[in-house]
Amino acid sequence: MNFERLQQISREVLKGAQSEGFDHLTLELIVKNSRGVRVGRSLISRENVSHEESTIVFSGWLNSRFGSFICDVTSSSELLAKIREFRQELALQPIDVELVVPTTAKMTCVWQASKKNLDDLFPVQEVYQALENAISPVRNLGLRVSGYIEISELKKFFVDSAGFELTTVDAGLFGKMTADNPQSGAAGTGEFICLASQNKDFAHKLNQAMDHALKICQLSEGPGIPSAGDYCVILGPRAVRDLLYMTLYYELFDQRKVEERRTYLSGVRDELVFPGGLELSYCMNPEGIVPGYSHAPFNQHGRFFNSLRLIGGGRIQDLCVSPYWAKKTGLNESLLPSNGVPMVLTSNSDLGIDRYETMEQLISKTEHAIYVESLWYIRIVSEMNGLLTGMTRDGVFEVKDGKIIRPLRNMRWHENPFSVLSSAEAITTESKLLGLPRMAGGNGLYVMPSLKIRRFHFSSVSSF
Amino acid sequence: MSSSVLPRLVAPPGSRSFDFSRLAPPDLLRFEKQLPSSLLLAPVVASQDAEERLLEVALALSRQSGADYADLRLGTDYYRELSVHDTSVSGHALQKSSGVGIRILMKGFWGFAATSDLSEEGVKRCVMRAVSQAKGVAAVTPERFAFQMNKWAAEPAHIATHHTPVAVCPLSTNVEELSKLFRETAERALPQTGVKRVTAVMNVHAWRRWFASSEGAKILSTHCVVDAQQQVVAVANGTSSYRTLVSPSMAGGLEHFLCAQFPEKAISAAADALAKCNAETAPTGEYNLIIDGHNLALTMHESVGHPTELDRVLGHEMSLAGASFATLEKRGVFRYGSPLVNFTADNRIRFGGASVGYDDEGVECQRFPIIEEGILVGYGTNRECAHEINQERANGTTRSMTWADAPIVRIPNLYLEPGKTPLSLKELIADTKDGILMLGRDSFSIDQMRYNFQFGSDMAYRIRKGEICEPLRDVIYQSITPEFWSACDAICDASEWEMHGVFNCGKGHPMQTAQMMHGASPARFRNIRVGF
Repeated sequence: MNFERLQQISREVLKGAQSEGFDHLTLELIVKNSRGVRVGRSLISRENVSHEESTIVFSGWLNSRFGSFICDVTSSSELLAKIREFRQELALQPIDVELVVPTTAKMTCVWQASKKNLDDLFPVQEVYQALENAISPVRNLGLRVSGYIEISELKKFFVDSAGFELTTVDAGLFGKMTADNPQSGAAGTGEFICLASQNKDFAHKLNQAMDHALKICQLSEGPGIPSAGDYCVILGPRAVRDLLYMTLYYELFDQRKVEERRTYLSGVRDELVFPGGLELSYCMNPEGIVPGYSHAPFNQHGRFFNSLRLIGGGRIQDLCVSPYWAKKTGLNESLLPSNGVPMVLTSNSDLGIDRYETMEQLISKTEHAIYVESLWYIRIVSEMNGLLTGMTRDGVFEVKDGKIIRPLRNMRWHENPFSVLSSAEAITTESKLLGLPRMAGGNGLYVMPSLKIRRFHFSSVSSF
Repeated sequence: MSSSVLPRLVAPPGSRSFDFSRLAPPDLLRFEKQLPSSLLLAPVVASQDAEERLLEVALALSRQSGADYADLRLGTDYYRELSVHDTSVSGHALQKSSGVGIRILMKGFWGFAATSDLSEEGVKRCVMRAVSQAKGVAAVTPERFAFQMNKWAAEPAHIATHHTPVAVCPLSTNVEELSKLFRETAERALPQTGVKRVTAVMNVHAWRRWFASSEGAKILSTHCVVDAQQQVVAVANGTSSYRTLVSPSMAGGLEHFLCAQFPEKAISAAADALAKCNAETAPTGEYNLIIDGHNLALTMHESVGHPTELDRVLGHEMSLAGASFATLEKRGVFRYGSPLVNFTADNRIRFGGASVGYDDEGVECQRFPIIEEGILVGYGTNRECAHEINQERANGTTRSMTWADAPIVRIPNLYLEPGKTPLSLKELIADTKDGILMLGRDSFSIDQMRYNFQFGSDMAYRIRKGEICEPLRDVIYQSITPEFWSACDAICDASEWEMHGVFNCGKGHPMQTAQMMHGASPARFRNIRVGF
């Protein structure tokens, strides 16, 4: 069934379900069309995946009860029967005293990243050829290549009982390439994103990522063994992304936790100062930062979304306020972005921070530091201390007198991300557009600079 | 308890028989049903004949298209998630998804396609997409890299069924019943001193799945895994802490959760959470650690299970999950742990999340050693890479998360064998002059080669002069995998052996999650670094 027909079925089902007496009902039709191309052991490998699936998500609010179910799209009569069954069970479900029924406006919005279909935007055979072209020179050097390219198109139709309709068609490509030397353990990784509007740049971006991976891998041969301890570090854009993504993942900005004294910011929210007037936000209009970017101005609950400013002017600004906490405390509810809205970190003043255009310039002005390409396996250790742990990965180097002088073994670190941002002493104006693949459970886009951090704690050293 | 209700657990080798009844409350007898629910037995399309017809259509077209080998997984996957905060049900979602995933090997290169369109035409289109992918890859890759079919590990073409017994179906139980024990636990915990919040989550993954291959295999299986935990959060002394109740991820139905006695443990969990708020953190330093089976289950998962997945060892996973220090030349010679340390993989063990009968390449599940007397001896393999370690047969550890995913090597059910000489936890503690007792799981992290790791515990106590003393908070231990397992100097006997599991083991690009069981008796590790 084509998307228009599926939309029609969705409308019919919603109309039929409105007589069932829900306080609020939403229906989300999701049509996924994705191509995953996997590189393993220097070859396009067995997991090159083509996946097409249509599902429908019903969410119902009924007398302080909420539930949802997800199923394949069938006929409207069959789906309506399922909704009736769902409603009967929902009526017996224990209530949720914190439930708030969402409100949306009666309106229709259609947003489309591209009018081309996925196979025209990113023809798979061209992707294969470009990949083999990128892999083979590295393979010929005796190094191993692995990676993943995900081309995906996500068509969504959201409709609710208040008369709100949102149609979005998003498409894009995520890529990650790693070169490693299995004998020595040296490795480097490059990542790239192609928005639908950037589809012609695919091969160029792929080659840039592969070149970067190769360069880092070659630079990483023969690592020195550092001592654990506190160091000045330079975090590359991927490392900054990794750290901030996990900070959000662990809900360290949650207003309720802060007020209930269950998290790090409980005691220090108003005391924290971030140099350079640091700004961390989800931003709908990163004009000039992400050429060709656009996104529907609604989140996945059908609410209008413009921006969420977590850190601004060097201070904590908006914490995340849930609908229940907003109702209880009188604070404004935070509208959270849908996937695909970039998280952006910038600096808007020179106060307390040095600003460089590029990473190379930042390194050239650094007396002594450890440069880290990316962070890995980040987990929370103590929420009250805001303490995270993780490893360095695919590129750790010692910088001395403005130059990278030697690779280092990977290290475990323990740090508080707020302390990390507080001790930033340099930032690049050049940012990198990064992502995490949707099929891999990632959420959206990141626009990240490099940061130089005065003090960063490495707690132990690994064996490679 | 009657053994006909829940059969005795297969005992680990070298141990006496393990009696599951000690985990179960007396009212377990009321669970009479031992078969998969009718929901799981229901065909994906109109009838079982129609399902089998689709298998034939897909395989026939694969052959006609020139495939050297083809296999497919057709079925329905169910996910159910329930979340409860305090005494309220805050979320409930049931997901049902049906379709077919088809894998084709042609001219030495793979193609894989999946679709939820289960019409004959839809299945045929899916086959042709897989074929065109395999051809597309072959067209751009030098022929010398083509996979040679003579390296494909042989396996009898099984015609079989496998149904994981389910006493209480977690899919058809209504939300009120499903959430009842969580709500009772919260009702008991919330009035306790310092308790601020109680949160719970239950996850279910169940499926009905056909496997069929161009070699003639045809296997129908149903499987179900349930995982539940509830966290009691206390705020006191200017800080916050929690204690987590766990119903380990196990194959079967709700019976495991019903046996876990959360309400009975609510008050002690609240007291523990409060005690942690008032506890000191252990100073950084080296300690003798006694680690319980629950904590070790995760440590072995990350530091033994992942590094011995052969596809990972060979570099297939390098760009995401990483590779492994346990490289092929180490097999048979590398000292992974002390001579006391024996790890066995067993995808036939009762209640194991990975006990699926036959894996997603049609290989019968097996039991095999990974580490014997501290020496690395085995890997989890698939049919493509088993030849790399001169194995004629793959060992049945290759799985797809759902019908839509390509099969990859997964960690099997993996356990640390209990000590061979009688030793209780009490005796082990009494034998430890100075140390820390670590109970349950918390923060965990490991590098991509699986060397450097850090694990936390849900509850920890100082041990002095052979006795449990004051509680500690935020205790983490760091080590390097072979150094850690080599520091093991005592393992309690089989009477202390516990079965645990992992529900969300992530691997692969695109990401797949899988479930598996891990088991251990408490064990002692000398001079392990605590703190950071």
